[in-house]
Amino acid sequence: MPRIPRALLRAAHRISPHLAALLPACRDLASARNELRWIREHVLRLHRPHPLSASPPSSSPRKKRTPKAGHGHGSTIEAAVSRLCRRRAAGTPLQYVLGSQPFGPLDLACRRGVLIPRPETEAWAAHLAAIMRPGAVAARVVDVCSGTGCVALLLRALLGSGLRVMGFDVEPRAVALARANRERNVKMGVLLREGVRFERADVFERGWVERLAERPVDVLVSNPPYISVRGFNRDTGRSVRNFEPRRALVPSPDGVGERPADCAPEDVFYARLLDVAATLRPKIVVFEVGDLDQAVRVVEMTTRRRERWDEVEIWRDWPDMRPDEEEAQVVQVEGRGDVPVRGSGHGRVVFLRRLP
Amino acid sequence: MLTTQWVCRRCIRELARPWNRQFLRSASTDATKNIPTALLRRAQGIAAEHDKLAAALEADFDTKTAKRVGELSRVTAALREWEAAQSSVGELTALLKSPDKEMQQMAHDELALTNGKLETLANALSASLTPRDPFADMPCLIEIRPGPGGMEGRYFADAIFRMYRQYCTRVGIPNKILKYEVAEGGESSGGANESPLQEAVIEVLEAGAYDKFRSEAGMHRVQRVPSTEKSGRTHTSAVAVWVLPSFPENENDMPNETSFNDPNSIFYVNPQEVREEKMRASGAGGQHVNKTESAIRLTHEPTGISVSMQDSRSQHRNREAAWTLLRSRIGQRRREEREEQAIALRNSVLSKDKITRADKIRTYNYSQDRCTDHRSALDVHNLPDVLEGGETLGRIMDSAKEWLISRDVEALIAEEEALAAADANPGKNGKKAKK
Ligand SMILES: C[S@@+](CC[C@H](N)C(=O)[O-])C[C@H]1O[C@@H](n2cnc3c(N)ncnc32)[C@H](O)[C@@H]1O
Repeated sequence: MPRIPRALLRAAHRISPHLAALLPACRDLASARNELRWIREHVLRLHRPHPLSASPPSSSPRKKRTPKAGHGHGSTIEAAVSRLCRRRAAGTPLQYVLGSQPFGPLDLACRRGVLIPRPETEAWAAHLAAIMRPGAVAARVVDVCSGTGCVALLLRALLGSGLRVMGFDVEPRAVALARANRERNVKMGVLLREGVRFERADVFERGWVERLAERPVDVLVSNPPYISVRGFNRDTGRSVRNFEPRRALVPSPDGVGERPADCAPEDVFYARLLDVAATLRPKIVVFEVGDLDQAVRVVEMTTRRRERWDEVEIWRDWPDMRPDEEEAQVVQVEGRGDVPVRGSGHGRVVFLRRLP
Repeated sequence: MLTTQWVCRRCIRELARPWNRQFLRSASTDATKNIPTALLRRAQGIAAEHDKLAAALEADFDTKTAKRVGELSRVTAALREWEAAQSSVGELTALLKSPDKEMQQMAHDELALTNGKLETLANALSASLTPRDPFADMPCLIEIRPGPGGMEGRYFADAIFRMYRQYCTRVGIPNKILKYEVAEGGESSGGANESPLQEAVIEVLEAGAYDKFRSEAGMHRVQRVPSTEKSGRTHTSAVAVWVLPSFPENENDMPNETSFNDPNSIFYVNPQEVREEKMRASGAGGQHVNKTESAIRLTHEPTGISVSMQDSRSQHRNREAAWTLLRSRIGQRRREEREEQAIALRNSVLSKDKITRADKIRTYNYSQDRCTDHRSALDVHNLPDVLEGGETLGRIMDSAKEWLISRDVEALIAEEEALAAADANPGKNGKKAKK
């Protein structure tokens, strides 16, 4: 990674030492500025006197406004800001530093050990909600590899009270965080408590699917680990490698059973999830993938298995955005022919639908 | 007796329903009787496009297509109604040959009725093809001012003002007086109870009011003996009427969820026309990176209006906020343009000096108890009913509107025929030849 030019660092320092501290982690001045602003807002929110606390209005407001070094409210705030900036400067992702990430109308707690929800996931989940909206009333949705619970909770928040969503993750810390996130957003008034459940489960475990299949499932979504070992070493950001759980990113070779010969190690979750789909027979299947090539491989898997899907689509990062000129709007897939590619950005999602 | 006849009418109507496709086709061959072929061709073309798009819409909803279907549906509906009546005529004509005498008689009666209806429907069909005034759906302002000349014009302006007010009240159109200004020192002119009006503005608050009243704009002339006139001499004076579209600050014109998705709203923005730039991290994205860049910029290409947003850590939220802002800005710009257009309209077509005595559209003649519309050449008696905004005024207004439409239809026929001629002679028209 190129080093930050000295002149830029000096310029940042003149504006604020915090900014200079953030610059190496943020890479450019504009995002350093934004992150500093968010850190400040976060600290101010925490230190704001509670609106119901009985502080008499006459208690000299002027004193509060003029922070004297080492004394009073202002310096506490500055100290907190600089502590958070140092953590961020050391490479900790901002979402772990602040402990949260907004996701559509939701605000999700983020903790070490659980992957931070990504904007691409937010985009496709919102797009899926828009597609499901007309018939969503009583749909049953299963989110496998649910992490913070972001996809399950967003669908639930956007699609009204008839929807039932179940989220599954193998990582107990993820299940606990997803449940906490449900409570957090119920308290904030953007979600109803009913209709979302999170349970611990390993997708590769046998009994789990059989139990799930006892009731019909309409929609299966998943953002499983999809990065290859090589991709992990080469293409991931440093703070991803150093701070986020590897198990959420790279499919582990253990416990996946025998891998089909024609399936790349980073694709094992899709092979398994298609088995799950074959048992549950949902009407809609949505998988997040790492790039267009992986999307094509997943579509090829469905044709090799002779699965009959009425609609097969690939979505890019921003599925409802106008494509750039050089972005293909269709790809050829062995055994399926032309598959539409929607939106703009990297290939990000495989969408399968069976019409009634 | 009456009842039986009514029942039979109904059964004849049943018989004459266009259930038979062949009938329908053979009936439309003598279509030209009611409507110029050129117009019929255009209507059929539009209906075909409408049906194709409506079918496409069922398979895959798309706001742009929905908007187009909406535009075409007026003509399509008019054509369908006309075709249905047309096929009834065909079937009734066949029934005329029925051996049953009674059946023959009833078919005969029914045919007369349906033929009358057919003519109305044909007119409606022609009218539906004419370009719709861009302001047709708007509420309007009616402005009334006395023409040049003495007190008499002012008194009559008051009479015209009352005429429209009472008309609105009678037909139940909500309206509001924005302005009512009487000349300095004006006292009531006795008998008619008129005040010397300087200027009055009525706001007619109903959607479509502009379309209803626009044919009232122009010089209204009065011929009467003023109540102040001792010698009994008839005076001629005039009153100018302006009709302008009005732009109310109502909720339809507010930026909100409904108007954003309504292709007819000024806040509707076609996503195809918007370029979106994300401050996208280069690299693989997705699980590979956890960058916090969430800024977004939208540019509306046709107008160059652009909006950027980076408040939230959620790109999705920034994007939604940016879209809302962009729509409001575009809506604001369009509203201003629309108002400028309206001002231009006022300045050109209806400018003060352009409405002169020469442009008189209607004469109210008291001594002859007569009102004449000079454009439609309709002449009616019962002037008091006209001035009270009664049904007689309604008849005159309708005739003026029909005249406006017939003028548009004529222009349309001329245009269609010119096109047809150009098609027949592609050699003469280089532009048409490339297809
Ligand atoms: C890429 S993260 C996705 C999290 C979340 N859905 C999101 O979009 O932010 C993948 C998740 O899969 C979970 N996971 C890994 N292996 C699993 C397995 N065998 N069964 C179930 N979940 C697993 C990880 O704990 C992690 O939370």
